[in-house]
Amino acid sequence: MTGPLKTVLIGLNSPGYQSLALGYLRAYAQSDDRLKGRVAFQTFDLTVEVDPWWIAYRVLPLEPDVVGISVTCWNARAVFDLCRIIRAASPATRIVLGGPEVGPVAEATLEAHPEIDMIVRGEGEITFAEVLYALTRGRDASRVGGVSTRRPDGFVVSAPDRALIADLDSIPSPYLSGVMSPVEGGAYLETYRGCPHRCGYCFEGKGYGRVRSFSRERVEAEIETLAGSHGVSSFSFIDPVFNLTSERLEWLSAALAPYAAKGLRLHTVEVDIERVDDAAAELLSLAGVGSVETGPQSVGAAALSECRRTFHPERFSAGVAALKRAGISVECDLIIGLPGDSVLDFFDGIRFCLELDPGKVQTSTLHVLPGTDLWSRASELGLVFDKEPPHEIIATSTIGYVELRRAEVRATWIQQQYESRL
Amino acid sequence: MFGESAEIRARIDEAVEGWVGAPGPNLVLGGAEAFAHPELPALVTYAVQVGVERLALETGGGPLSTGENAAGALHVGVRHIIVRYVPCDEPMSETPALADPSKLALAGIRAFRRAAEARGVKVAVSAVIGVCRHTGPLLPAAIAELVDAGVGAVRLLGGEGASAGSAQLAHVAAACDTGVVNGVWVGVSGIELPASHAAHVEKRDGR
Repeated sequence: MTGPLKTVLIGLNSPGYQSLALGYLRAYAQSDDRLKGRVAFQTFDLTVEVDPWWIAYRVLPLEPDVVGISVTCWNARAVFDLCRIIRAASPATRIVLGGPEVGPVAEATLEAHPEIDMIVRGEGEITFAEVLYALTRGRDASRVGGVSTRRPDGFVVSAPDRALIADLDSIPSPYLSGVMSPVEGGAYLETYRGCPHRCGYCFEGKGYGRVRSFSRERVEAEIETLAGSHGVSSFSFIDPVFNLTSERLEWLSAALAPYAAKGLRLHTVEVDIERVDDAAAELLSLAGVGSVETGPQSVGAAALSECRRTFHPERFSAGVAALKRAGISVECDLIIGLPGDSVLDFFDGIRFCLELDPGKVQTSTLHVLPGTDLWSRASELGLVFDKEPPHEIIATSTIGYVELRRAEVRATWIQQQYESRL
Repeated sequence: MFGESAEIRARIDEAVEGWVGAPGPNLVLGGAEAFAHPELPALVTYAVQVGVERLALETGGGPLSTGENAAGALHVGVRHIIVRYVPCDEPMSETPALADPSKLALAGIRAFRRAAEARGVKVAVSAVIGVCRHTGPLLPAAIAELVDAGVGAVRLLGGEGASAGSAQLAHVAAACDTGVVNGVWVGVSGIELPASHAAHVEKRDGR
């Protein structure tokens, strides 16, 4: 090669969000001595609302050798549009995708989208760096563990899976390494990966396996640097369960409390509400938590069983009450279209939540996501869903299409009424 | 909302004290036209003071587009407007301003929505339509107009003990479907709907 491998990373986020995933990818690759001076990075952290043609207009003049894009069910259609434009305009550019929308169905995605060259499956940091290393050396990247790619003869092939990263601290902090900067006083924090739960509709627990944590020293350094030196006034924790264990909650609360006392606030965090008592609610309050998001997702016994979830109404109610006593608003989430649920079950769930007067009741429609248990068992469970992203449920064995749409609309009105309070 | 203010305050007290469970207490100040009551702001303020969490007003809608009524209602604590909507396809009065009350109602809904958006306040707006042989054929178009103006739900009210013919039922069913495809809930009371639309049937109190 005559110059560095020009690598453009693109994130198409929901409005108001940044891509921590791209930050990790870049921070890890930039810390790889083998890539120093051999790879040049440019990151476009955009929103999904930006027209793919305009993104291409910005990206193509850079004459990228590699374009890497993180794909979720929400941005997939825009990403595929963008890839087609880049492929047509710059056939030599290698287009590499990763993320939960494509990783679990990598071969099928490559078959369906000839504009894509390669998909990084699972955790991307090491695999993407290895791909870049192979490309800088002119080697065949199809042999990199965790990669699916299309061979020159057109066949799609997958190298073996890559093991999960055992030591998360080996991934440099995007903020501490300077790859990412806080935006408008806000920053993202991740203290662990994986999830203790195995909810059938969620990718988190199944895709990222057992819980692996960043070290406390690493997390404390991020908090101290961001809140102390960079003037960050709000953190968004992306941990699937903020109160993972009591001990961990105590530690996090102690780490955040000095800054919360000076005004630091946490965006809505997700909690296991059935483990929240007055002491836990107090710790959350001290940490700067003003609102939490939680289930129950469903109160129907059949749906809870099919989705491998537990729900104890008394414990749930006690958790909401404890949080309200601590001045913390609760958002109760319910999903319509879960296997086994009837429309009546769904509205029973709404009624249950409203009677707790939690602050917010959020209903959403099931999306059958690649890599989840419901995706693999869809036929067995009678789930009919859109094969195209975002994979919305079309009908279940217990709720037809029309009933689903009616329930969505009625639930929206109930939410509007509930939220129209003083 | 007929009666002297003292009497209405007593009924508000009664409603708040007798409220059981959450969420609430929630209150509707109903009647022919809430904005016609000379002490409406004071009554709303009183309701808020005694602990009402969600306060709705019943109105024909037109007064909301007059002066500062929309902003004023929000200011004192109204968060839900229930508009009694009368679809019409021919002038109802020779006075131009009163010829089409539905247009006035739609203007009022839009004014309330704009005022709420300007204040960053979450509100609910619904409409109630009496179903009769005159309004039946106009229902689907009326729902579309209300959707466009910004309502979140519509209730169709049949007369007590009235029976609806097949043509009328078709109009009501079409109105329900028009609502759903536009993301607005249409509930029906007092009309026996076919099984295909039974999900839209609500009790008189909206449940």
